[in-house]
Amino acid sequence: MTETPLPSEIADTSDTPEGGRLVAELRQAQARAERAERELARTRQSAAYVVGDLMVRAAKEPRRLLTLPRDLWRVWRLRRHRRPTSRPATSSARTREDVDREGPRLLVPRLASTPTARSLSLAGAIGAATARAWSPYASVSPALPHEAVALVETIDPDVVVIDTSAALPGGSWSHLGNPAAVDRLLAAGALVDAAHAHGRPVVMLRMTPPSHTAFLDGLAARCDLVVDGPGSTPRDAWHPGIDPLDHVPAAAAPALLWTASFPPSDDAWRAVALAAERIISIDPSLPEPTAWHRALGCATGVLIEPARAGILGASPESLLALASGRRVLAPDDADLAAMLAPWPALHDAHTTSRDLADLVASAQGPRPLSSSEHRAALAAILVSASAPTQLARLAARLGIPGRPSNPWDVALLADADVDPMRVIAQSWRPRELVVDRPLPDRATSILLDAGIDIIIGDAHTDADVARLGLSSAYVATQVDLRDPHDLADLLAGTLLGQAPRSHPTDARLVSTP
Amino acid sequence: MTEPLRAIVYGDVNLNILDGSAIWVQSMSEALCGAGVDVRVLLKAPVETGRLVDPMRAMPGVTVIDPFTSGLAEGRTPLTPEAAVSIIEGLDGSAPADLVVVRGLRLVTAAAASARLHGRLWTYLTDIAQSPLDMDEQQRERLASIAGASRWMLCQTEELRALIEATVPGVSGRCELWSPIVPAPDVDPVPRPTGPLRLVYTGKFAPLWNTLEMTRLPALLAEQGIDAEVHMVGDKIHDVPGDRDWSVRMREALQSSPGVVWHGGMPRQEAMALAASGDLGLSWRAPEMDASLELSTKVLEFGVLGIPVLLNRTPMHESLLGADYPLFVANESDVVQACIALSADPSARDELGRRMAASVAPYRMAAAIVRLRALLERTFPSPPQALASHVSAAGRPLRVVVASHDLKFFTRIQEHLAGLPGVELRLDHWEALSVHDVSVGEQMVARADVVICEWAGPNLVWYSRHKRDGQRLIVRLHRFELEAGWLADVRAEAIDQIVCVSPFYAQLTAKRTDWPVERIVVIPNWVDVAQFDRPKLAGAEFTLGMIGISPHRKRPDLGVDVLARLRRRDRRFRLAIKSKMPWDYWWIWRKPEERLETERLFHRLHTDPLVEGAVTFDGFGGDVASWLRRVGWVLSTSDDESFHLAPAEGMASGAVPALLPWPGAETIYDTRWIHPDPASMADAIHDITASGRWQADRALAREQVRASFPLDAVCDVWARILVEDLSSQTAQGTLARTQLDSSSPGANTAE
Repeated sequence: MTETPLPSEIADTSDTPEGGRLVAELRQAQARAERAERELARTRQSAAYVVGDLMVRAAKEPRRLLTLPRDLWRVWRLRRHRRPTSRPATSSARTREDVDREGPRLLVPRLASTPTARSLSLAGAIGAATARAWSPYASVSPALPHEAVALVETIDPDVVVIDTSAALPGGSWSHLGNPAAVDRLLAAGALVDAAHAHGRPVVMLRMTPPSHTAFLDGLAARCDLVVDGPGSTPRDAWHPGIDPLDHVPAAAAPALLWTASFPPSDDAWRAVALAAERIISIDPSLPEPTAWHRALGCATGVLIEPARAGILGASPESLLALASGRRVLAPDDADLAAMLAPWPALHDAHTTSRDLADLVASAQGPRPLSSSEHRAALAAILVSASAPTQLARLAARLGIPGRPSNPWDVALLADADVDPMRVIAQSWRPRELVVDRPLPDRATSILLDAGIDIIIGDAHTDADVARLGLSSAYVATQVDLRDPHDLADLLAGTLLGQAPRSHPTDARLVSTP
Repeated sequence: MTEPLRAIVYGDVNLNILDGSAIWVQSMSEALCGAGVDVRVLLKAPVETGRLVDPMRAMPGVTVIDPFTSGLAEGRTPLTPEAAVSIIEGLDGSAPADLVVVRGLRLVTAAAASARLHGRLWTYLTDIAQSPLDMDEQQRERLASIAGASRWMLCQTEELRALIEATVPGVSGRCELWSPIVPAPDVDPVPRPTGPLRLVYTGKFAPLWNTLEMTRLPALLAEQGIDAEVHMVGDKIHDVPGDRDWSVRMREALQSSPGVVWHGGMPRQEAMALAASGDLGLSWRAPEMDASLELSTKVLEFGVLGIPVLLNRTPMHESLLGADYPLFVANESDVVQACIALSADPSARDELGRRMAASVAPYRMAAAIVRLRALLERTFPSPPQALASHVSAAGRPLRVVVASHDLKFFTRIQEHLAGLPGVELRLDHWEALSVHDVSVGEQMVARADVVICEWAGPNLVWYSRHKRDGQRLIVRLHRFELEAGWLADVRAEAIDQIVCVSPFYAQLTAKRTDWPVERIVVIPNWVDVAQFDRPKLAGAEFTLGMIGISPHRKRPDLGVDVLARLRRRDRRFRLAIKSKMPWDYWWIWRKPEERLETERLFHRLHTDPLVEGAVTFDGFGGDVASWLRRVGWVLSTSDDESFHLAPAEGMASGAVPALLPWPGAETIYDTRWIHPDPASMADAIHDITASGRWQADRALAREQVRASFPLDAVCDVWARILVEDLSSQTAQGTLARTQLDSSSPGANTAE
């Protein structure tokens, strides 16, 4: 029988080749012990353990019985994504005595320990701009690399997000995706494992070019869904949305906010810059929202970095500028052009060509958008790129019941002979349809399949409507359903505080009594 | 160590097949040979073609060992890893090798298990997981065991080095970059022909390589008034599944596109000669290829020829050419615009060619030989004259014993001393500060000529009382020992040299002990400057770094103060902390005051809007050099330190140090980096960054650390102190040096 040598015996001879070999063997033995500890940790993350744990918790706490089916379903759905936990190697084994279990609790921000009552919660590596866009409509908890696992374990969000815009220089996860930052990748891997251990889906939101995310392919393969936002490629395009109410009043004097690098190195761009009466640039030393708001507040138009071929456009900056009623110069941005194309009123609100003459002309004293242009721009954004709609679409794709709060849900008052196809064709689809008598079966079926609740009752007066107990924030009447954007247009006009219109119908959108 | 040095080289590759790994064997042998090493190259497979083997046989100093013709192997079957290791051991037995250079995971694993080869292996691995997420426990263990047996682990890329350092404990400091080597072109410089702009492409024809799109460039450029030709070399046209006509269209385009000259397949040197006559190289590829982490050898070849290249922006290309390289392209339009710009300004083209050539210079054989020589010098150092004379006079090796419970600050010095010819080094490893095996100590006393006590602990008490007459006793004292009661038990007259790491602590030692002042000397801590010399990542100038924040006297709270003051002016500043957490040290965490301060720190990080979300804890580990790539400022805000290596390591990495005036700081670091309080420190950091002086200051800091604490110079002084006394003058003044001069470490030696 051989005995494992004691460390001191080995150390005394470690300067000989044999001693060195023995030291190496001891290290391996220590590594095996560490591996056993990790095996234990993995067992605790296994589906069997998690399911058992959920059952025990439900038995102890009857309130959890309500969420048990949902939790079990998630565990089942995500079990195929389960991978071995990958954690940073430590240079020496820590003994149990070394670790005070009370210590790591300090990592978790106090605010995040109590998720708000919002109906969709997201946490993870989330860039500042993305978090700002989502926060009014969902519970968003951006995590730093060192606290991400603890945060997810504490707040148990509906969705864990890895947003590559957080990995840009200066971001909270800066250098994630750079092969030199191994620790960041390991932290992101641990975040994915923690989410899966809780049965939560992980979404990777690529918002940066392929050269930036090349090294994240392995991480992406562990995620449940990978989507590509502006700045990435159109592999699985999905816009994270902006907050359409994040608008800034326009400046009086014409000025161009230049978001591309300045001064421009290229002759053509110099010509565009020279054409502008005044150029505003963003002060990088200010906090992001302050810098943007301050710069936009001084501008009447915004020039966006020319879009690159193969890279998704419609950047959040373009959309925020439009939502604030600014004219946008976004050369080569076919995605923005496509997003705005259904709204003819927006034809002159943006320049997406790269033609120098067009750009020079647009740069010369850009006027703020007219009220009709502004209304159309907001309608387009509400439909295609507003945070609540996009988050709702994401939740639907993931198959999770959580839904972001949407302060602009609309109940549509209509006759019982309403064409259900025209209702569901509305680009801003109503949440509820109020009719005074039951609809034909086929219409009912179409509307319910589209997620529209049908409310039957009289709605002649405010008191009638109040009695219906609608969940929507707004009630719409006299909507011209022949125009698929009529409801969106009504909503945009209301949000902008514009006067009710009389053409083509006397449509009205009012707050639900 | 032999003279000249002897190496055995073995790659687990068949040299009859011309590929990258086979060429590596050839270029490694050539580099070793160029560095003056006698090389034996063992073949894995019987020779079928002399394409690679013959040039190696022609190299002076290289012996090719064919085991199939020399009776070392039976039959004609290529060697298994185990058989190869057995033959290597045999070769080493007949003529011991100083280094054994091996490649290939299976082979290296087998070699690492050989007790005979332990510590002499130079290992080169590419066939391991390329992502930490793909690395399982078994692979980690395997790599740890390879690292334990290796003198050096040679890494093909900085990324691979970062991966190994971050995932294999204890390997830090022994990973060296060994980039691919581009052979010098056998091409005479030719003046570029006048006439059309000449773009050159060499390689395969495939959709992802954008070769079809390239054939349209002359026409697109003609529309812009540029007369251009695209010269295309190669004969492999890919068949594309799902697009059968692609190869037909490609061939037609090569044959009939206006301005396209198809040269067909050409031998490599001829292709390089043609490329040398071009104005621009083409390596523009489809975006799907941006994910590749490989460096194209074609790009390197264009670079060697001084031809600027149009290529995609990828991490590898940015790292090679710089993020501001102007010829990164993503589409046809970018290519056309770049061609227009360059044809309008030929001098810019020449400038870019020079930039390309400079960028790929580290990949040339000549550069590889220089790197290898430096590595060999570090591995096999020459003894200083005094030591050599002493050993020669004694007629036997000098026997040195190092006694310590903790060698973390001494490892590299120990390795250096152990590598010196004429020195036999043994360890008396104390299990704890005051726990040791007396019988081992007695054996060491009986054997040693010189005893070094690392830390002035009970080890010093014991050796000062048990040393033999004439035996030399050296102690290195750090900081905490000065407060310890056991110093009174030390027999002071037994100590020959008391080494402190800074003049301040030397003076404090003189004040607090009755030890002879003339024996108190200073040898600074060392910094492995070469290991830290790595390119900074984007945004480093706005990233403050702290290494080690426990116990609280390290004052992370003051670092956060500095950050808050900076962020009040510029929100781009962040703080990265590389450290264990206070609760990871039970002896710290049990103290209520430490817990309280930690609570306060985290409360502020979660509630102060100025710093919330701006501080990351990047964990503890040996990958400090890699981590420092993201850091532009290294803070030292402690209440007290004996030396504090962090600022010095930061300086070596190209960061600017920023210190608060802890006692003695001015005896180690240039006072320009020392600020009276956090507010002044924040002011200085902001001013330097805002005024664009960060680059200049970090260059100065790097120069200073190279002059003040370089590993080789510090090790050299340690080699000398084994046999001669240093001057007590070393304990005066400051260690900070601005350039390598006579006041470099240890210049004041024997009196």
